[in-house]
Amino acid sequence: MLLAYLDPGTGSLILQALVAGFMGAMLAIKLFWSKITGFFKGLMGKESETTNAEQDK
Amino acid sequence: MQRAVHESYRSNYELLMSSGLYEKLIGKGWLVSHEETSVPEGLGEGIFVVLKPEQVPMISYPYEWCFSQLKDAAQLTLAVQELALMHGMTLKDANAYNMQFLRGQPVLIDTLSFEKREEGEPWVAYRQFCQHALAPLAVMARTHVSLGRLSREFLDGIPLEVAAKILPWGTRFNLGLFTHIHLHARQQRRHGMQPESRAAKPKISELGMRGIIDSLRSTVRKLEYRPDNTEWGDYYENTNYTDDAFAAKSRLVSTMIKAVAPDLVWDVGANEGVFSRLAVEQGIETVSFDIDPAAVEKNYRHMKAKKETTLLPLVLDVTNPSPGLGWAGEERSTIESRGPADLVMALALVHHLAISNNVPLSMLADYFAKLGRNLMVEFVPKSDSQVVHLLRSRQDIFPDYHLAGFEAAFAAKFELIEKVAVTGSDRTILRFKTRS
Repeated sequence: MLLAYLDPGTGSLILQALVAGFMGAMLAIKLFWSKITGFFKGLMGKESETTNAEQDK
Repeated sequence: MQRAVHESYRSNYELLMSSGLYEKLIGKGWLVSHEETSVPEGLGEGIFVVLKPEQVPMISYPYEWCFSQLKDAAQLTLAVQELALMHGMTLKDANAYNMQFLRGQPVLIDTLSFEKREEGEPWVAYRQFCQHALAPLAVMARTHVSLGRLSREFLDGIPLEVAAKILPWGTRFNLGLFTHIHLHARQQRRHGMQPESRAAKPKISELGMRGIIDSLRSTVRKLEYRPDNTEWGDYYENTNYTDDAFAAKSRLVSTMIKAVAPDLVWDVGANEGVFSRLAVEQGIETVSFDIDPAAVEKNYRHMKAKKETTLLPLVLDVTNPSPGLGWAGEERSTIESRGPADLVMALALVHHLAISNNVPLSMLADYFAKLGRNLMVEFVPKSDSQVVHLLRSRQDIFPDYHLAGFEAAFAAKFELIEKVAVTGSDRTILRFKTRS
């Protein structure tokens, strides 16, 4: 991307950089946690959960 | 409608088509499909392909959507961006006008919105998403639902500093709203005017971006609106119809719809869409318009529950309808230029316009003639208790408001085809054909 199609806003880019680390970590924990609960549910023969993307559509 | 694709976009288009992203998007019904056609002569230099995307039967705008329509469109934008990331692409814009409703579901109509994501590239459309989708939703849920119409004023979405000011103070304690609206507004204020230095462009990892998308998703998910307690919310509890009269009216309306055999019906003042569904039952593409966002919300939820695919509920105030907006007033079109419908239904409506809103009957006729080729209208006379109620605290300045006066006022623009009294009431339903 040489020139942005629209003005992303300097402030918006900086904010993303500020929070990406934290939010990425939160997501990683959330995914890890659903793997753990999925594992235990699998053990007890329950249905597996849907992906994050499908849940809220 | 066709789109010419310039050579400069070629690598992005080819990546979209070859990476598997296009197939997945079409499979999920998230993007309109398109055909590629050859480039016609004289189109201009550098065009390498022309696309013919699937057409949407009725274009609508975010300021015409109820809360849940906007929420569903917002969630779809995020889902599309997440899927794009998995294929090395990103949405270069996230404005709400790229979303439309097709067969009862939101769908992305801008096939050319995808571009290859460079390593570490932040989401350039993040600001747009927050202004076009998150801010209106937050303001509708947490301040007042009628503020959806702010999107009419702010064509690039509600400015974040405006949203931050009008949201209740307690929203600062919501992590998502604090970050994506309040903190975002502050960052914009602080850095807004600085020229961006290429060297200082921040990098974010794919996980970081997915974390932001996930945060936006759960922030949007938690915004809720309950459609109770509005002026028209309990309309059907208090109508003038006995069950028999209601059934008689429904049969009459169905028969008239069949007689017109329309391809497109606009039901104006549709409330929750009870009579719109008489057209939907006949498989006809129908748009339900109502002034009350709560009624439209209920209509939309009902539509989703019943999985109706030929209905589109929209918010519209007939006395102040969607205007032409944007450059030269032409970027977003008026409601009438998106028609005409084959049949306009105006049931239990004109007495509100003529009496509560003082619109002269001939001006009603003029406007309805612009909206559709046929008109089905219910005349509610002064003897009806609803009109008695409307006139209770007003002077009766409507000497010509009676059936004969109504027919006379409409004769200039319309040819009367039939008029039928509704059994069990004083009302009459008239069917007109618009004069050409």
